[in-house]
Amino acid sequence: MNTILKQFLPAIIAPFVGIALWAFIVRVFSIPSYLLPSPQSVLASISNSYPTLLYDAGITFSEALTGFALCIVGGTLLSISFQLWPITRRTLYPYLVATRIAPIIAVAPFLLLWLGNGFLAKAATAAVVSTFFTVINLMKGFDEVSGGARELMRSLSATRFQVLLKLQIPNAVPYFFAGIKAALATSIAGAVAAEFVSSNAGLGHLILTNYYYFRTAEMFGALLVLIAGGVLIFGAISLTERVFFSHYSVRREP
Amino acid sequence: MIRLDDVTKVYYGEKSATALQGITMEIAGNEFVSIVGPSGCGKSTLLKIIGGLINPTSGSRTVSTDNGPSSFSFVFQDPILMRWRTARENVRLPLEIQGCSLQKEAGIPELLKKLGLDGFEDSYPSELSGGMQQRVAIARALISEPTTLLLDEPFASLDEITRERLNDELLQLWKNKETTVKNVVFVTHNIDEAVFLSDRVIVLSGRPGEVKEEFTIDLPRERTSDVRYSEHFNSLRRKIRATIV
Repeated sequence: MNTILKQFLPAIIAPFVGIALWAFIVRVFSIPSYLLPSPQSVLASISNSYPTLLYDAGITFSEALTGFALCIVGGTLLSISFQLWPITRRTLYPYLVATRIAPIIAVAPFLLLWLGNGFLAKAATAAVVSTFFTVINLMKGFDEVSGGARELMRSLSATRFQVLLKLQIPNAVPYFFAGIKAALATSIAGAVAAEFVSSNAGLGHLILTNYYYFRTAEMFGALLVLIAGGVLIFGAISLTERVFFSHYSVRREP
Repeated sequence: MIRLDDVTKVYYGEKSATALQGITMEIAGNEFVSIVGPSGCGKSTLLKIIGGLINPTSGSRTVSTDNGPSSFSFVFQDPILMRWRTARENVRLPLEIQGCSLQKEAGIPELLKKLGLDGFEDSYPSELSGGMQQRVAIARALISEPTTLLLDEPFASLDEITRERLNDELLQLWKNKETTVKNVVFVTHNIDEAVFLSDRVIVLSGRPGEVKEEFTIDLPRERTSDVRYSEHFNSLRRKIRATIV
């Protein structure tokens, strides 16, 4: 119990210290509320608009998670294709890199143009900018198999599919989780960016609208909910890996 | 019986290297043969050619089927267990790949017990010591019921006591015919180990690998630990050691 406390206590205490500091600075330096609202006012705005915040959060996260799911499925299929048919890798990989190099906010308008201003375009933006992470990490997981392991499979006369299924894919599990954690972040960013370009609901829409009216406390509120949601999902992914896939990770046990 | 006739192995590339040159040898159907030699002399390459894992550049390899079909299993220096599989599941791997009968799969617990892994069937490699991991690797090699077992310095990374114990156990398994293995080809650079285990020791010279000499180990087949200290053992060891220099 002692070690758990030691592990998590600093991270738990830090926000309280941070918030106290924040309140102190706002008060002492008399910072105008449209620049930096006090933590109390942010809290008040959150509790006042709780239902709408939740509703908008639901919209943004459905967009983000749909895109996230798409990028996982699409990314996995692409990676497997790259592994089994290297010509697809040679052809498509540079363009996949381009999807990540292109700034998210610049990609969004195109998808909104082609897919309409609705949910689909936002989920698509999330998916397009995130697939890169799934693929690049899976590729690494498939590739970073020891020569000895490949030789073992060869000595058992395994087919290419068997090597993929029984060696490369399980080996890639920890890489996969690392990849989708990054993909989650960009999925959320993609959904919000698309909302910035054109939307009438969601947390991105909320942040932007409140920005136009200098309602900074409300902006903070929306951002905090966005971050909280993202962190929760991130935590769920980490937990899933630890509970169900602990033996796949490359631990150096004594 | 496995026969190699004038086998040569060349690796082509920027700098071509001849790993093996003019190897002619025979491994009888029921003997334990060790191959010794300095590092880099092509012992591992030779082992893989004997086992049919790689093909020679020239020369031939013939496997005679007098006593039924032959099958080969390898044990490498690194146990190479899949970290996400338990001991039992690692042993099952060859059966999954080769689509073997359920009967063979039922033999897994007994095989694990024979290799001293009783109680560790559901352990993961990270929970096993180096010696235990290598036992799992041996069990994995044996589950497909091979007639020939090929081992490439399997105990090199283990401490001496564990190595001696595994030598004893390997020998027992083979001698007492507790498995389907009829002949064993064992690569090592440890001469003690080679003399202790084998009927015959083949010495390979270095780069390119050629058969320098063959020694028949005429120690009694019942090899206890004390035989390692006998005069005859030591004289054999000295002779072989002298050949390698």
